[in-house]
Amino acid sequence: MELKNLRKVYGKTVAVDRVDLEIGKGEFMTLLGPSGCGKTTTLRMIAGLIEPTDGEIRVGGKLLSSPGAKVVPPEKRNMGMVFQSFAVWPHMTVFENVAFPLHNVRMAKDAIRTRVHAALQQVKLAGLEARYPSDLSGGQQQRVALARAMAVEPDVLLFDEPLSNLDAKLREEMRFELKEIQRRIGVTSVYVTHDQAEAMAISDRIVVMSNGRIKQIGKPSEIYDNPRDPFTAEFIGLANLLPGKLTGERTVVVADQQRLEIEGCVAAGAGAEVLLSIRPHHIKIESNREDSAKSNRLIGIVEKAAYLGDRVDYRVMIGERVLRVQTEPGEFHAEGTKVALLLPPDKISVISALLQ
Amino acid sequence: MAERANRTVSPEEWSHNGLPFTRRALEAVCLRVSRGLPVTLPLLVLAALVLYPVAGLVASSFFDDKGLTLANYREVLSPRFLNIMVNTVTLGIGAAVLATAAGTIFAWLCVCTDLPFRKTFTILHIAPYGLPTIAAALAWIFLLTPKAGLFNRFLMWLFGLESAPFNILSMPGMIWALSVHLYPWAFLLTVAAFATMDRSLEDAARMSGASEFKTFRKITVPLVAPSIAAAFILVFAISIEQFSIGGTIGVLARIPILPVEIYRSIAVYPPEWGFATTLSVVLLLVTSLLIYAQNKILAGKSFVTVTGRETTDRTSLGKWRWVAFAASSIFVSFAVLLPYVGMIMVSLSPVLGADLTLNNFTFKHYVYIFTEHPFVFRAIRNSFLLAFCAATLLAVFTLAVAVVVKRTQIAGRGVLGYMARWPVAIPGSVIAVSLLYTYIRPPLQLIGTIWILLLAYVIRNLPYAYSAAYAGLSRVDPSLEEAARIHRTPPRRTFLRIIVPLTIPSVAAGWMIVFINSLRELPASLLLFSSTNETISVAIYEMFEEGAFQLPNAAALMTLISLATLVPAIIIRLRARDAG
Repeated sequence: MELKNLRKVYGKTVAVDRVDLEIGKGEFMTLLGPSGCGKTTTLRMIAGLIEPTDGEIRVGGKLLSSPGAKVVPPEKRNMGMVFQSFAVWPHMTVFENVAFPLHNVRMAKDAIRTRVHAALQQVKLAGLEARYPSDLSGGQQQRVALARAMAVEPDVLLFDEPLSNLDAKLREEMRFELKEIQRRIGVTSVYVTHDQAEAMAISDRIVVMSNGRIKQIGKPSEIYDNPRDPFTAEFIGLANLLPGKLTGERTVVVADQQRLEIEGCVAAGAGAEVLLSIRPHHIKIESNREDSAKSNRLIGIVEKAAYLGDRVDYRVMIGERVLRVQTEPGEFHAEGTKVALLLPPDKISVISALLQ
Repeated sequence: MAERANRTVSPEEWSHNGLPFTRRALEAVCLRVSRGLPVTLPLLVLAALVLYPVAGLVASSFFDDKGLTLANYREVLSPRFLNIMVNTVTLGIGAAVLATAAGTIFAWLCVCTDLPFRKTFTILHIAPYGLPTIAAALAWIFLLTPKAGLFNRFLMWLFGLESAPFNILSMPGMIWALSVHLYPWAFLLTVAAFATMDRSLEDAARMSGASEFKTFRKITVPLVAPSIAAAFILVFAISIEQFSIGGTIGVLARIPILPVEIYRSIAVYPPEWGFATTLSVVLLLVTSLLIYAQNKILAGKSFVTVTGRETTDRTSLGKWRWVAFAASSIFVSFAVLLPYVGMIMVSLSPVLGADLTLNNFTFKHYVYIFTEHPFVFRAIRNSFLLAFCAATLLAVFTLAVAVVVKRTQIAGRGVLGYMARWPVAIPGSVIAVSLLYTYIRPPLQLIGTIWILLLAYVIRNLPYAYSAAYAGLSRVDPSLEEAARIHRTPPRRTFLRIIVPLTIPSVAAGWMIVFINSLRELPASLLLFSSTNETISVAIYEMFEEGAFQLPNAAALMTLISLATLVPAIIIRLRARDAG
């Protein structure tokens, strides 16, 4: 699937701004971002439920939408979709819900029956065919929606925050189940969510979106370990953003005139301003001993310390800046003590792109 | 420690050591009664207000001078009665079909499509609410009587016709006047259904390979069907119980219908009590069943799923967009705006039937009703006073009832809720007959006083005030009151400082509905008024009965009343719609 220069404008607001995206066959791609970032609009344009203002959508080389040309309506796109509100038709039984799309492709009655049973088996709902949706739990309704979306063996499966209406425990369970079913049938999938943990757990690749634009595309680990802009760094997990100035090829002066070594290549030369990002749990904390020979130490004062059972959450003042540090419980550093923070060079990512 | 554990109290010891058994039981009963007081007290009030007169009416239909009898019912099964029933049902079905069809189509256009100016149309479709039914009826008489009707004459002139194209003084005419007056009810009910329907149900159908049309047929229509059915029943129920159209157009066309015959069998001398009470019981039975069915349908539909999402993508009408616009415009001009035009034109004409020109228009009818008419001024004062009192009494009482029903666990609160909603199924003429029957003699001889009108207005409007208060309370999170109680606020203070301020918008809307309804009430007022206690609608109806020369005066009075109530009536309906 290919999206080229996709745009959607409502009046004066730009909901989706020049989105370019290629999704491989059988790939599980997640659009991740806060509400209002344009991810759902993008998904609904792929579905054909919203007409793009500009740009092209192709699936398997077939042009579905392009400016000027006739837009293929949703029912002709051979896609399946799972909605946030489940959208299970309340006036039809489970069987009728799943059979509805099969009737639309004019399948024979017997074939429909087998297909529906197979689909319901996949989602572990066999035996509930005659029930009405009002008799089902939220999780069961979502399984019906999933079975309905898969039943016609679509080219593409679309998910619009399908788990956000479920409670936390069920959500985690369904995450793995969804992923497993998707692997099994090997269908190209586009998944929309604002939950970064969900996106990490389920996706082959993640597209981070903000204000209608793509911020970063990559595997979950790439995005987590190597965020390329401040938005991505802060949106995915916890991140400390630390501005500094390059002094050498590998040295940065940060807050309080302290020095840090970094790895990875920086295009800019000495004197350039950079932004560093490091995860709180990658920082080590120890009592400040002057004799320490370890490099990449920042000296600071513990401002707050919270014991959380499995870890300790510190806020450490480095000059004017606060760094968040999460460590396993061990030696406890009380508030007000002077400590040294160790920042491993390979865990520091450099976000220079956004600091002109 | 051990000693205390051993000292268990035997049952005998309890009754010996404690109070004597009988006294304990009595105290328990007293406690239960005082705990139940919040339910018992309003229940007694409602029983006295509503149940007592209506039960008296039903009972009286089984009696005549000699004692218990079915004679009244035997007499009712006469050709005269059958004719009335056929007329009433024909009118009801005709109006319900037309009004529901128009309401549903326009609701769909306004909510689900890209119809141009749909917001303006939404308000226009509610505008018939602004016109009291009696005003609408007389306006159609002004416009569409065969020879003299303004619009008939205009069409004859425009197309060079020999004879008048329309005759409002007929059953189709009555059906037309009634359906264009009542379609806003159907419109609002179906608007709510379309607006609250989860649009992703339709999106899911499109994604499942169903075309736009198939989606409409298989998903949209079945989902809103309960609301359409409910709208149909509601319009039918209002059609068969309303007085104003049958009492004007129906009288001129000599087409008798139930509520009008109830009125007429009492207004004649000597009054046909047996006939009136029996007809009332029949009408009451039918409307009660209909309202019950309507409630069942609306309560039973678990289909409508409310989502917060505003629909950004509406069904595109394509080239039909402007066709739909033209059709909507034409319908609104004829059905909604024309009656206003007719009414205002007649009020400005020198005499009924004169061609209104820029040279001969006059305000003399407006001057007349205030300076010369024997009681219009008094009637306006009475109406406003009655409406104000009824609205205020009901606002306070129904909010208290709603709190008891919704916020307490006291047994019997459900019955209380039902009682408060019940009068919605009691036609105005039935209320009038039962009040007339109950309060015409001592101990409570209220007939001939203004209090009987207040009583009638309070009973009729009880359900509307209660629904508004209940809806307002439903929107207040109970934890807000719980927080007050936890912080040691006494119940009365909680009510005054927490519940009242938070529900005031809904209660005020309810107050306004009752106020407007009372200003316009006709059938009960007509049977219950006495000289010096006239109301506005009584004045209008008397002018109608006096004949053609009084009609421009009636038009002037109606114009003033419509203008006074038009804007609040529409705002309330829009608000009610937005509130769901």
